[in-house]
Amino acid sequence: MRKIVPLTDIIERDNEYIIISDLPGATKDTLSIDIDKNILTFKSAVNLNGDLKVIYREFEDSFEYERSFRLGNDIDHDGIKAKLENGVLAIVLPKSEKAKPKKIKIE
Amino acid sequence: MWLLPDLNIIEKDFGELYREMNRFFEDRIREYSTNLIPINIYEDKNGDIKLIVPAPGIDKDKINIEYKDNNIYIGIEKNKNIDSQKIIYRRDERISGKLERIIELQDIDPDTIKANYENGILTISMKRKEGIVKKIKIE
Repeated sequence: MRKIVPLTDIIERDNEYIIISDLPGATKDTLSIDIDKNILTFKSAVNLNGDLKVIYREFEDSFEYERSFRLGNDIDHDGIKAKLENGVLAIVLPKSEKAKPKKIKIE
Repeated sequence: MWLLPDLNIIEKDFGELYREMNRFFEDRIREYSTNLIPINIYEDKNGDIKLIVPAPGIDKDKINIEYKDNNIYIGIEKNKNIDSQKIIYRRDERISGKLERIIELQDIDPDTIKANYENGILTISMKRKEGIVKKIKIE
């Protein structure tokens, strides 16, 4: 099956990173996310045409999304959460306590 | 002295070939996304027409579909919905803004056009116009 690399934003905030990826056609049932040796991978097979007859085609209608990112040591793996809504995946990666910015009090 | 933050999330290294493939596909997707709204057109067993448009992360009220003189207009406004909290973009690939497309479809019954938005896919379905058969008498 043809692989498609989904367009992805990565945002950093003080306390977390958020991976936001466009996966139109992906559902909770088809999407999988796993972390193996600090590599986070998400993938989803998508079939948009069912058994319809194609009249005109500009994009692949049967393919697999796949993308991987290596996670830094500053991420709290137990706190990782993901949400899929309207074909957009958001994975929240909280920073570990020691990686969060600290305000230093002047004594 | 300023210490630059490390880029803590970096792409998995599959070697040059994989990066090459990534770039190829990304360029293709980017081309579709920036220039126009990509459309596939299908026909089902009954001869009904189905337009399929990938449109991830759109509010339903930001999708505008109109029909006039055999043309279907599709307008989509995509916002990235990021709150105002201080953020740094480590990677910024997803498209936002207004995307438009007009597609001409002959012999469509405009009263039958229906649209559905699910899982980031916009589906516009419609029936063909019933054929009008008229017998011409030779005088």
